[in-house]
Amino acid sequence: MPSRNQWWILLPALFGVFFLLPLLGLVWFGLTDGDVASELRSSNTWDALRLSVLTATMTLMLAIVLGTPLAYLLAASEAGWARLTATLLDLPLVLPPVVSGIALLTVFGRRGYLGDPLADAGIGLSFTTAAVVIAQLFVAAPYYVRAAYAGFAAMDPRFEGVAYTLGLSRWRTFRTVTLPLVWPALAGGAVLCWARALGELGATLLFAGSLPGRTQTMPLAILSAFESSAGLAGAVSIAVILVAFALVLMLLLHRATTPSGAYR
Amino acid sequence: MNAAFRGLRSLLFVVAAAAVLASACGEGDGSVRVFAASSLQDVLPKLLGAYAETDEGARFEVQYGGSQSLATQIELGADADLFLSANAAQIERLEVEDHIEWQISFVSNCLVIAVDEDSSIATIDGLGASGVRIALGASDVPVGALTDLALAMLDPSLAEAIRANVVTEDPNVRVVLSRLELGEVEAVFVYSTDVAVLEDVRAIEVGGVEPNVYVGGVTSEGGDAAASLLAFLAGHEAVPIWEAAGFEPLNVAVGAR
Repeated sequence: MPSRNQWWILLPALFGVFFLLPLLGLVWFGLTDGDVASELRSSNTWDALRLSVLTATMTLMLAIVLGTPLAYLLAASEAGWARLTATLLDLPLVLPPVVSGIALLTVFGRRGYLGDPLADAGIGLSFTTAAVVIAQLFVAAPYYVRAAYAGFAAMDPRFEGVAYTLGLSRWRTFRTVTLPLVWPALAGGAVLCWARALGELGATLLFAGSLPGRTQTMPLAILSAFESSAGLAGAVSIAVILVAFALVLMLLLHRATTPSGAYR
Repeated sequence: MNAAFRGLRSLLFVVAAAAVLASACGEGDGSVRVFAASSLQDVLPKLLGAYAETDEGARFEVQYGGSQSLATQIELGADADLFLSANAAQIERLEVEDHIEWQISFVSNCLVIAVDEDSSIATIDGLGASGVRIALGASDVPVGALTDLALAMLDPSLAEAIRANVVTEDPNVRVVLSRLELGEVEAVFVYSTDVAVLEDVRAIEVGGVEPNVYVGGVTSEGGDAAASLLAFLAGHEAVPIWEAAGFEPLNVAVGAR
């Protein structure tokens, strides 16, 4: 029995159960009513999984390369435009993904505002694997930038100041002083971004379409199965594979991005 | 888990049946209770309006739903006088159990190719040209399965050229249609009734595939009023309204009053 002042433990326990039960329900339903084994033998499922991992990873790499300097700049600046930009970056988090897909089409689509110049340059984005990455980047990168921004903003700028007075270069300071300090924030944001990209459905369907092997990611394969005669059982079977795969990768990512003792 | 799902389903059915029953008891004025396929949702109100002009006392209660779930409700005892199904299978299923007094096929829709009104594509042969982008339904959803059948009827080299131009295999017919509306593709495979409600879009016929036939059945509950309404729906006067909505009227001579 918990002692009198430990009853609050029930709250997190209940909350944990709230998240765990639906996941267990999904897996149980998939294993009993679905046919996970036959989905595992289907090349369509593997194509979708391969494409999902490839695009989500590319999205994460782009988010890190482009998003880290942006987050650093925004956190370092006191100006009004920096605050405004930080707020605008949160907007894709609010938009329903289908709306994000339409928004991307209004600019990059064939009839979009940049459609003609892009076509003249020989670039057709919609219905390509590149379009999948762009859709995921639009929807998922804000999670990374937001976390990185919070990390840089919380850092004491005097550490960098000391490094400069000791004669360290800007890059060396960033690498040896700043980065270790904000690492937990960046790693947490990276996991969120990758996970959100892996689950992206609406923007991808609208902007990139759904073609097996080229643009059909796992969520799109699940949606397609859901609307088929196999219906619920087929969709849940593929979902179980996605959940199992994501679980393993998330565990690995957490281990890789949490330096031992960082949170202790 | 399974038992829980079944329990939930039967509970839902009891609630739905109670609602239908309650509304039926409330309206003891002899209105015709119509169960109609969801795809008739746009056109049926117009038809009922036209029917009401010929028969001033006519009253209707319409419930829309998937044909299969409507048939299940009737099977389980829901009160319906007239059942308008999007396929013959559901009517046949009810007929076996003596729920249906008489039936008639009244309209059909079919697979078409939809293109922009000013498109240079005139026939299905035009879809094989290079640079044409095509959207269709995934093979495992109904519109995609029908498209597969249609492509299988074509000359293999043309079918292959068309396949090579496909840029997306979408999860439902609504998404397929949006590709054309957004200007992302030149041509889509959809139902004739989807095209009829759009402006600036032209339909090209696809040969070789059977149309979807809509069948109406007067139930054992339904009396003369239901029979008279079904005869109207299958008759001459309804033809222009069906055609404006993209449906192909059938058996017009049989349905004439």
